[in-house]
Amino acid sequence: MGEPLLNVDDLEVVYGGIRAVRGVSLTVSARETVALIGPNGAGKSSTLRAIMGLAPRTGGQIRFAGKPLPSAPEDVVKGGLTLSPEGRRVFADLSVADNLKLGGATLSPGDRAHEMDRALDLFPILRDRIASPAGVLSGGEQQQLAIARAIMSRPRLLLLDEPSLGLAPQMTAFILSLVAKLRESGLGVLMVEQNVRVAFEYCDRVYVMVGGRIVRQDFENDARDLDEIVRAYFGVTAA
Amino acid sequence: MQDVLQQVVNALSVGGTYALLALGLAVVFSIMRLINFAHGDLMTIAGYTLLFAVSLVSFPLAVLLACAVAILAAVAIERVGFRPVRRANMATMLLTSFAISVILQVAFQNLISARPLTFETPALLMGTVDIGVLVARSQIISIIVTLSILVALMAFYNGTIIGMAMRAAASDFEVCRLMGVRANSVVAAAFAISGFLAAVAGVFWVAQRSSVDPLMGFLPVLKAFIAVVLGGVGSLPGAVVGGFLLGALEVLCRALLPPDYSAYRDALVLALVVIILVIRPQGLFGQTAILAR
Repeated sequence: MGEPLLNVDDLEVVYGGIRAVRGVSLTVSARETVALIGPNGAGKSSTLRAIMGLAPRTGGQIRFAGKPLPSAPEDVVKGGLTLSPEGRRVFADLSVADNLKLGGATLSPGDRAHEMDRALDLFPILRDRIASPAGVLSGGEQQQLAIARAIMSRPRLLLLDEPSLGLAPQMTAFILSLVAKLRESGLGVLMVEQNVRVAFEYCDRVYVMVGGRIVRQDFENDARDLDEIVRAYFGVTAA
Repeated sequence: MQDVLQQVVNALSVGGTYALLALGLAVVFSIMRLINFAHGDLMTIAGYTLLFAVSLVSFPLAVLLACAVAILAAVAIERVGFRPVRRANMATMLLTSFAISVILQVAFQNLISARPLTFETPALLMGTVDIGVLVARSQIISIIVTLSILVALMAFYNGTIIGMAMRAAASDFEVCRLMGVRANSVVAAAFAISGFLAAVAGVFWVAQRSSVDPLMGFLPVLKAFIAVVLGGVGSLPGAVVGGFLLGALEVLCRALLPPDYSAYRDALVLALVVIILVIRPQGLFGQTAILAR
């Protein structure tokens, strides 16, 4: 494998005097799905937010495609990263079409129309709801819209924050199978997940994060011992 | 019947001006959570620009100039006054807007004149038009311009990326930035639109009253604020409806109140507004949670 697409090195995030992320280092390559798991308050979402420029990076370095990553979210998106945020956060008053168009705000009108067609081919349910306000969609449909909106900007790396939150297992499986399709087309994926089973089932590699630090990594595909991880994972949270 | 038609024209004309001003306040509030009380001073800036420009260039060109200066002033006020406190709480931003308003008013008084300056209404706005009843041409023009602007703004908000981004930013500014849309562009666009709307309202105000004074923006922006609250704080359609409704209530009171009681017109209008708000505290189109955010 060549140089990773995303290289986070010794990242620190401090919010109002609290060190939410303490020296986190991780990598994600193209065509790779990586999970960041851990209990509530472990700093997983803060890590994603810091990568996107939504949270202050108080230390460390982030390189993307071999270059330092800009700090403003707008520049990060233009650079080829995108985030589907926790809780979907679709624009409820805007139609599905307008949500998607905004996802492609950085593209030319022609490219935007092309990307919208591609996103709707991947998430066909959205084509049927194209004129509906996003706020009336079901949770599963909103999650699909959030991901479709995120990939409208032609990213090279997709960050997913809790994609399974509040969804039935079948819907989670369906959505993550679509994410797997995206990966086949060359996209890298970094996913924050509380559901350990989901993370292990759909991801190539898993980082376990507790108390702002990465405490375990490098679980290989063939050596995954889910029970052991669940024990360790919950063992740490219980401590 | 003719009386009714006349009052409808009056209501649309007065309400239209309030609607433009209220919409200007609401456009900024929806994104910044800021009631910009310096909005009325943008009207004044447009008024003075019109007054001085009209002696040099044709009236339509002077109007365009007034709009351009008010837009620039609005964007400059955001850049210098509000951007440094953008992340501050609502009270800080509100006080900043009062401070900017007072600074501008004192500047007008000291640099231009503390007394009202007379504006000579151009021939274009004089005379009457027969639409079954004789109405002032200025009223008809103000109604047509107001409605055209509202339609154009609707097309802008629904049909352009920056317009959609402004609607999106009103509900979730952070995620709007994740779309690659620059926060500064969205905020600047909101202020530019509010400056334009204040300028158009300012031109109507000055043309109807034939004078410009340093405090001329205070009363209309207060009325516009009432219209915003009436329509529902944070709602753009609410601001427009609130503006027209407030105008209609004023015209209705003016038409129905006996002359001896005309001094109580504003009190009566505000009492009616209070009654509406008692029944529907969030305003006609408002969401209850918006001020709690």
